[in-house]
This record gives sequence, structure tokens and C-alpha cells, in this order.
Amino acid sequence: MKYHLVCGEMKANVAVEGWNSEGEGLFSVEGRNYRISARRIADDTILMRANGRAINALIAREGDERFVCVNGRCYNFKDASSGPVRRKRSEQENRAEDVTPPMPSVVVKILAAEGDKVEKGQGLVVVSAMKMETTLKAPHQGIVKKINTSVNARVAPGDILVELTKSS
Amino acid sequence: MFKKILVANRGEIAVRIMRTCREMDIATVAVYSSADEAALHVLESDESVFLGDSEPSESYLNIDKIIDAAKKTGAQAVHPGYGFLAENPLFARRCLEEGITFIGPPADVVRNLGNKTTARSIMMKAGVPVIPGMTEPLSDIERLLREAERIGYPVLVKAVSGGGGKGMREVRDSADLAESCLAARREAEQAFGDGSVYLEKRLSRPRHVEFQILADAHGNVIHLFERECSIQRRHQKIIEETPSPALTPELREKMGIAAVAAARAAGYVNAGTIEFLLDESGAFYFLEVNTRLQVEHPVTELTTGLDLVRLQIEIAAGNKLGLRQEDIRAGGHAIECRIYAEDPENSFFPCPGKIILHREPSGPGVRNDCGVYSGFIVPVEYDPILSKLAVFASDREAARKRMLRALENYSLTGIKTTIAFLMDVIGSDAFRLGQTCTDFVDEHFSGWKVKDDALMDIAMIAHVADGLLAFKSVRQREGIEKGWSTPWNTLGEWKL
Repeated sequence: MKYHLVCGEMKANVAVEGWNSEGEGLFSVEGRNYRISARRIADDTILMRANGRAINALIAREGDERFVCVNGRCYNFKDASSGPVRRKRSEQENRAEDVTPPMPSVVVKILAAEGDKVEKGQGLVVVSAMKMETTLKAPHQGIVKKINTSVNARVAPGDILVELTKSS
Repeated sequence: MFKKILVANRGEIAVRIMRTCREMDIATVAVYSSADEAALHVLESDESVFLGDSEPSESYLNIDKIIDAAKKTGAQAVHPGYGFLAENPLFARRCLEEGITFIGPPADVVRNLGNKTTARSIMMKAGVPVIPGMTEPLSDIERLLREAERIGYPVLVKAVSGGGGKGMREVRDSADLAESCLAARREAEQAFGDGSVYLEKRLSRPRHVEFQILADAHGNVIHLFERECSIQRRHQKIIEETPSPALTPELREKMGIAAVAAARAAGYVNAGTIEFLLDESGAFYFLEVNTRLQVEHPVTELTTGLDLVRLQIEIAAGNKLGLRQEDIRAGGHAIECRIYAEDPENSFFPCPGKIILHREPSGPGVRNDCGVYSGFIVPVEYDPILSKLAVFASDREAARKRMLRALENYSLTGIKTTIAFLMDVIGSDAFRLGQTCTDFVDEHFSGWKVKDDALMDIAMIAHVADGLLAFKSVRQREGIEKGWSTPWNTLGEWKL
């Protein structure tokens, strides 16, 4: 059996050989071999031995997402059929040009008004999460086209709080 | 003794306080905001009172509402925990006026020690060494410049009412002093409602070493040794341990005497912490007093075998401290790691949200003071601490290995946490060698990322194995129920 998994920018092929009813098999990740024995002891817990070392893996599902915890590290997988994907990094890259909070937060202050001309790096919105304030800055020079939020609003990553037009 | 105590806090510390209350047969009252209706401290309390909206000013910082809750439920005492109203002299005074016992020092002591320049004056008079600097706040820039010259650069601009690194600026050159003072003043005004600032010498590579003290209302003061809290991010502690790898028995004794003198000079009653900075030459300086139970108190409890919350309650009830200094023995080594809902790959940004799965480590010498559970939604409004994982072992290296094992066994998904970061810190050579100073994280771990190593492979294998095992692993032999929820039907054949 072969699986194509995607982890962040990394793509990996996982091959399984000799998987048997005892939960044993030889796994190969990009040519790196692991002799695995695995046993499920609870809905969300798999105890494994990988090349003779004990690994406690927790697997949780939430919607189409899957979370795998091994030895204190957690990996976030999206939809098993398309392979695991570590979320944040790639999403953040796509959003470099958007004015959106880095974490779920509450809007404290709005520093610009619609129609304002703003410089690159100018503060637009101050958000607060868990006692820490962050100022969201203009990614480029431009004119404030629309403000999609208000003070005390709860906002999340991906919400575009301020829309800018690019002035050339 | 009190029959009922209201805990004016939330999260792990409220849960921890209530556990001691239960052991003392004292009933507990929780208070909560709209964000905390399903919080652990509410679920574990005997009674709970709704305060109001999630904003702290409408709930955990609202003195009127908390006093009302205490009166309504007949609570005789209030434990403030740490943060929120714990170091607010107005709250301590109000409790006194309303006939409710405040489990903490008297209001005047809280006020005097909360003002950094007043606290410095008190300590200087008592002969406790303080960091070279000013004892009065100043706003005049010309005079501040002269003071900075006298102290010698680099200096720290600090807020008189400050804490947690807010209203603090490091200045290396006189050209930057004016601007830094203004910035610090603005920040302090916003955060503490008091913009006054003063200057202090910036020590080179200091360690943060603090002493736990206990004082009763009958004049007895003792200390419970030190905690080393040098490993910090954003000027806030993240790993603490005791004993400090930097203290010799002679230095420990000297600092202990200074800590007791400091507590006496301030007229201290109840549990408190005297913070010192220790420089490379072994000279130590008074930094501040925390007039409350510290976040990191578990490490002291593990090495001394004492319950600090129980002692706090007994002192507040007017009891005499049943312990003399010579009764206090600390053995072994304890380390605490703070598990925060933060993204260590992204400047430790807070990361609230829903916890999908939470599995705590256990085993010998492991203690986890925790305020969350699987399915709990960590609110945006409050401090991002989720739990405090503490370990105890016979010596530092054994404790370090135990902490690594415990962190490995800590599974928490759904939100970003500091667990993987803490594992790398605890596993580092610098930590192993005890080379901890307050610049530790910047020096060794700036720009930290999760390692792309074999564990990623293992995670992928676990992911695939999870699919392969979905319906196959459970031995559905005769007489055994279907399902995989217990080892009874998954371990196969075995005998006791």
C-alpha cells in the first residue's frame, strides 16, 4: 500500500509492506524504514513501537481535520484523502497582503477611516488576545477602501478587517 | 477555621486553591464570566456565582460584584489567586471593610510594595541590597538624564506601578533616553493608570532568583528557600526550578536572611515572594516583592513537602505559624514548565481556541496543575496559561529527564502550545549545564521552529496506522464485547 502525504511544504510517500492482523508492518517514509507494531487501546490512542522504541500516539478528529500527537509534538492533518497538511504556515503566506489578525482576538482600536491614504507599515487596527495587544499594519501603501470591523468585535485569522486599494 | 471560601480567580490557580479547600473541609465558591460558564474552576466548585461579561472589568476585576458574591453565598474569606485583584490594595481594603477575610497581606503592605520606588526605599532602610537606581519617580527629562549619568548606562526605564515587562525600556545611550521614557510612560499609563517612571541600572546577564517567605500575624517570619526563574519570554517566566543551580549553600543562607529581613521591614503577613537579581559575581539585589501566591509555587511545595495554600489559609485565619526556620528542609529537585496557549514559532502569540484533545502526563514525581479539558474553548480575554507541569526527582539531572518524559506524554491538540518548545529548552545543553540567565531564550532560542525530524515520519505513520487499525485491531473473540474502548478487550490473552 502506498500513501502520498503532504506536510506543509513537504511531500512524502509512505509505503506499507506486510501489514498483518497483529498490527505489524514495515513502513517506509521517503526511503526511511521503520519496523512498526501498533495497537489501538482507545478510540483516540494508538500505542506503537517504531524500530523498537515505544511511541504513544493520540489521534483526534474534528470535522475533516485530524490531529496527531506524538511525543509532545502535534501535527495537524487535513482531510485524510488529500493527505496531512500542516495548516498555519501556508495560510499565513497566502495572507501576507491581508489585514487579518494572527490569532482569534478582540478589536481594541481602529486607527484609520475609510478613504484615508495610508503608508506601508502604518498601524490600521489594534487587536487584543489574552492580554497581549498587537497592531495590524498596512501591508502596502494605499487607500482604505472599506473597514469591515468595529471596536469590541471578535475577529479570527482570515477575517479581512481592512480592505486597501493599491495606489500606484 | 473558615467554613466557606470564595476564590476570586479562574483557570488552573482557582482549581488548585479549591483542591486544598476540599482537603481542609472548606466549601468553595467560584465566580465566573460569560466566557467561563463551562470552565473547570466552575465545574469543580461547590457553588458558583455568575459575575458578568467576559471583559475583566465586568467580571474578575469587578470588586463590587465579587464582594456581592461573597456576601450572597456567605463566604467568610476570599482567596484572590494571582493576577486580577490579587495585588490590588483597594480590593484588600474593601474586603476588610465588609468583614470578609482577604487571604493575603494587609492592604497597606500590598500598596507599599506595589509601588516600586516605595518598596526600594523600604528595602534600603532595612539594609537589603537594591539595584543601583532611583528611589523617587521623575518626569523631568534633564534630571532623568543626570540620574542616568550617575547610574551609568545601560539603564532600564521602569514603571513605578509596573509589572510583567510593561512600561519597561532598556536604554544604552543618552540619545535614546528621552524617547524611551516617553514610550514607557505612555505604556504604563495605559496598562496601570499610572505613568510615573524611574531608572535602574541594567545588570549584565542577571539571573532571576526569588525566595518564598511565610509570615504570620504574630511576628514569625520564615523562608522556604529559593526558586530560579531565569528562563523567560516577553519578560515573563516560562520555566522555574528549585534549588537554583547558581546558589552555593553560603549564598543561599545570605539571601534567605535578606529575604526574611525584607519581609519584616515591609510588615509582611501571609505568603509572599522576594525577588532578587543575581549577577555573575554572586552579588544579589532586591527586585520586587510579589504580595501573593506565585504561579511557580508548586516547585517549592514539591521540595519542602508543604502546601502553601493551606498555610495561607491558616495564616489568614489568625493561626500561628507552626514552623520555625530550622523545621524547613528542602530535598531533591523540582522543575516547572508553563504550558501556554501560545505559538512559539510566531513570537509566542497567544493562541486561544478549542482544545480538541487533552491528555495529561502522570507517573512518579509528576504534578500537573491544570485548568482545561478536552473540548474546552480557551477564551481570548484572559492570560493564556493552560497548565503548569511540575516534576520532582532526587537531583537536577533526574528531574530534567523526568520533565522531558512528562512533556513527551503531554498530548494537547486543537490549539498551539509551548510544549514542543519547552522540550527543546529542557533538552538543550545550556539548560542541562544550568546556564540559565534572563537572556536565555533570546540567546539560545530566538527564531525557534519545530524540528523537521523523524518524529514527523512517526506522526505520518501513526496517521496511516490509525486508518489501517480502524476496524481490525479489536479482537472480537467469543464472549468479548465489540468496541475498543478498554484494554480488557484489546490486549488479547493475558493472565493476572
